[in-house]
Amino acid sequence: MSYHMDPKDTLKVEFTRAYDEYADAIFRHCYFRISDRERAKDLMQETFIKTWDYILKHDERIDNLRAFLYKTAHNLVVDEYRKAKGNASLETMQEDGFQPGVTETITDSVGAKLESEYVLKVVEKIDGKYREAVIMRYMDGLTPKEIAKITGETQNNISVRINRGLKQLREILENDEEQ
Amino acid sequence: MMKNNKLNNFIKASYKIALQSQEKADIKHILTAYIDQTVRGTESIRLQNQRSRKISLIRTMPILLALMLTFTGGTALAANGSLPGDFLYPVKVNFNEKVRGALAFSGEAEANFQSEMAARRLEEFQELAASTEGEFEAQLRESIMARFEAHSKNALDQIESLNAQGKFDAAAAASARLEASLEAHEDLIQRLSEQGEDIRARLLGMLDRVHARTEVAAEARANAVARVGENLDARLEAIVEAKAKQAEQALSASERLLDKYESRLSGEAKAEAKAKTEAALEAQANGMTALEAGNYAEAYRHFQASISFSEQAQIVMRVWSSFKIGFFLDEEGDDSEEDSTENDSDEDSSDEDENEDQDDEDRDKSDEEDGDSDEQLDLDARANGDADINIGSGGAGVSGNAGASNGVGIGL
Repeated sequence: MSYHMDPKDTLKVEFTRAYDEYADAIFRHCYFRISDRERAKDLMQETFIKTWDYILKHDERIDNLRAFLYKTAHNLVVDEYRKAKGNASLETMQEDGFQPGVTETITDSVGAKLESEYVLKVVEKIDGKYREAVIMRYMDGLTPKEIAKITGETQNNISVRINRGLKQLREILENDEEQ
Repeated sequence: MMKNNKLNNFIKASYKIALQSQEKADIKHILTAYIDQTVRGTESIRLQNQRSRKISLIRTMPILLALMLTFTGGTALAANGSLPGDFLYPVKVNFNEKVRGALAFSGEAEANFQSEMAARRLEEFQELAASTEGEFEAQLRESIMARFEAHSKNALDQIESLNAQGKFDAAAAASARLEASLEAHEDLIQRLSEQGEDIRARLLGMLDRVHARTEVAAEARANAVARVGENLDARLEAIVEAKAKQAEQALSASERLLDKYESRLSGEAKAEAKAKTEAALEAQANGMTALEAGNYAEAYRHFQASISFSEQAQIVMRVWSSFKIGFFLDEEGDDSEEDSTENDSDEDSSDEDENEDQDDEDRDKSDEEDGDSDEQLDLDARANGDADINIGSGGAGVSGNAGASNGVGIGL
């Protein structure tokens, strides 16, 4: 990149590159959390737009852009839950039987589609209160410290949730094989 | 160990959930347009952001503004090239075109805008009818035709109202434009239906509906042109001279297009575009003769006719060269298509090419990402470290922070 470039142009180039790099990951995060492919796409787009607004407004680089994107996506997901069902929490929604179907085509290949559906089905079996932590830790590859920042929980809490969620995930996978 | 393998495989599988490359590219288009606009207009966007804390509606203004300016600025965005049934088509008809409509404030501009929208629906219809991919369902056909009829009716209503206001010149120009466009499309539809039985079946009934509108437009044009002639006043000379200038501009635009598209058009389409352009040239010359003789009303008719011919020539070239199917290259120029496509960097048809390049890029990208996640899973006992990731620090992607830490890792 040229040193003579306008700082805003540099920012733009970097941000576009960040899109190339993280769009799929942010989409995946939203998809795991709301189980609706089309909506997940919207939220991913909104995540990048909001993040760009933030950068422009504060005229600054974000040190950990990746974590920032996840935080923005997380907030949008939380809003989405609220919108979807008044002020009910995700857990309440699930107790009420909120289990959105997975009917859309995920990729062109039938095998891959089945695999994705399977992954989503398994993830949905993890308790709501642990699921978020498991998705962020393993699907998104965020550190417990980052997850704590994103969700506003303590790091200790997050570590406990990750542990329990992981235990559940293992059990689900074991049981699944026995069936 | 088995347990861990299963878990690893599971997480590996979860990484396969990703966007399709087209989806990723489409959203990137929207995002880039938004970014471009905000970079150019940082100050005003910032002001709006500040205000937006109070009024939540205004929060969306920068986005609307960006989209509006981008979509209306002639930048060919993905949505504008979309067809009914495509992902971005709703953006095109519900957003882009409505925003453009809202900006067309004069009666003539509104009439022209509605004519253009009507023509666009016809172009979409033809493109879908000619496409060999997928079904072109009756319901979709009807919905496009209904939109066409609504737009053309709006255009005719505007022309009517221009006439009522005594703006005969504007009414004449707008109606001639609508008529020229409809005539050219009628012609195209007829030729298209000669391409095959299935295409003919898809176009069945459409021609009559277009023709019905053409007749009304022709009548409106004849009426308005006659009224211009009747209303000889001091301004007439100025009006006719302005018309002469318009005719000249339309003609040179046609000639430029002809130069550009010549190698891509079939003999038939080329001959037609040439014939229309020549007719425009002739009408233009007749107009000049009449103007010099002081026959303003006659000169006006000739210039208006010249403009119509030029517009028809342009429509023929644009539509025939933008179709993705090959029939328009039936007689000659088979080899030249690729070359000329590369040269057309500022025309509609090249957007497709750009999108395709984008796809390829994205595909490469996602291959790389797959590679990353494999590596990540093999390294799951890696010490974590809170390495912050800066914007654009390429390579520090998904795998960067993914190691186990704090005793809760997968490897335990």
